[in-house]
Amino acid sequence: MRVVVAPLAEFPPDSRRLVRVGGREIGVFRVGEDRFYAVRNRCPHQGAPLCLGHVFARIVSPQPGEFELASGPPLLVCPWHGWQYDVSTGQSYSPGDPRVKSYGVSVTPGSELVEGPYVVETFPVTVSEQYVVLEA
Amino acid sequence: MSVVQSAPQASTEAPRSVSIVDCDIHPTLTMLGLQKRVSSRWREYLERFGRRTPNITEFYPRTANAGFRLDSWPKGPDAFPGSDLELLRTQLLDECAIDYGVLNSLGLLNCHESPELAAEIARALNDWMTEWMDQEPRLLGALVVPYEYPDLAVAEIERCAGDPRWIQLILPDSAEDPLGSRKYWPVYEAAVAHGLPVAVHTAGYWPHLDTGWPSYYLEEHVANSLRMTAQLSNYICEGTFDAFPELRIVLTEAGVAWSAPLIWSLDNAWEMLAEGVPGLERRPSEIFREQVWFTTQPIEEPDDPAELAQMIRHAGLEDRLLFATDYPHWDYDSPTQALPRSLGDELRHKILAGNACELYGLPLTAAA
Repeated sequence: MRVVVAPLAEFPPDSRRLVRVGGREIGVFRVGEDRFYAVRNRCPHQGAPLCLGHVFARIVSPQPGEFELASGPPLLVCPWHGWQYDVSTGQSYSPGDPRVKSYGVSVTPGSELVEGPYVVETFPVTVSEQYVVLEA
Repeated sequence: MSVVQSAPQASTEAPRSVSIVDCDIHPTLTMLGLQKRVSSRWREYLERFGRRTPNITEFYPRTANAGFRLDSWPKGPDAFPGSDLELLRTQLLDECAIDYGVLNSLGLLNCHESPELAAEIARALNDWMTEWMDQEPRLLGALVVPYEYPDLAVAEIERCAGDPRWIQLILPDSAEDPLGSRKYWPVYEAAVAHGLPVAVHTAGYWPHLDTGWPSYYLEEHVANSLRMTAQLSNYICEGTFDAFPELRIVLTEAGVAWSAPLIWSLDNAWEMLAEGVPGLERRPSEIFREQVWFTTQPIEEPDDPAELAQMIRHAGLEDRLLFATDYPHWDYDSPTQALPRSLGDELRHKILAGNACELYGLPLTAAA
């Protein structure tokens, strides 16, 4: 199912939105200018609203005394117990722990959307704009 | 107390079994709220000097997320996790279908204030929680008392205990003297006289006993069980349980598994050394089985849940474990997720509701 989340212009960099798709609540994240991610808003550990947590860049260290922020997908940290997930794949940072379901997100021109099929409830979709679209 | 409420009553319209009792919820009366509720003499004092002990967000070592679920901060001015009844109601009681929740205020678990101020803080907290209980029939309360001044603590118990929604007292796990000492016996005497169990709750201002201070929050967090171990030993060895055979102690937020080897050790030592402990008249394990309860959060979580069930069996705690969420603290336990299914339906029901209903005399059908 394709869900039109928002016009791109109304989804600023480093922000997030919660989208309800049937019985599921999904968090859609824009990281910087052009990276979008989406994961289910339910931590596999104890059911917390995961997508309310902090988003952190990973820190990598080639050797003692040197460290830098990694450029890859950031980690999403659960607001309750601090479990950490790769926001692009949903994989847990701790080996062996369950992953959170992740979803595809794209930026799509309105010209590809006006014909449907998609779900959008709160705003009209026009040909001339770009939209953030969730594949859920 | 001008208004005496009735005890929780079973609903006559739609009787439903009590399935979840949350035995450790933390409401917070903010400093501004407290200042409004004490006399002008102490309001001016609090405005000028504040409290003698730091707020939880100022602890060292620093707690995770300042100690709270990130989603538990209410909106609006002077907001703090646990300060907003409506958020607590929707986020905890409704969301988790909790039938009864026990308000365990931590607001005076560091009673290092002048006696008169300590008494006013206790009174203010208890009156404030009473207003919450008036608005939300699922809530029950733990009486806050100025325990370092036992005469004032007894007076506060006498002032409030007629309201049956107060179902226990709350004390910290680290007071100025060991909790079993005679200094505190008037408090226990009053608690027993009113049929109130005493919750002893983790309150982290103390070092690892005489071993020095922890450097890391992880270390401090896990060490809560060490203080509770010492306090349970002290209660037993001081003869406090023998002096008050009807005293019921609820060890709150300090783990559970440590109790089994402690009791084994105390029993062994008692057989050899009993005459050195004049106040201790019964076998420690007998006292333990009759007079001690535990809340679950944070119950130990071995990789294999079967080992948790084994531990509960070893310690004989099937009837003594009380479920707790610890809301709104960061290490909150969800009632639907926290207890392993492998414990079995019967034991899970006892832990989630049955044991608490029995201990606190709650009806087995829900109020609302």
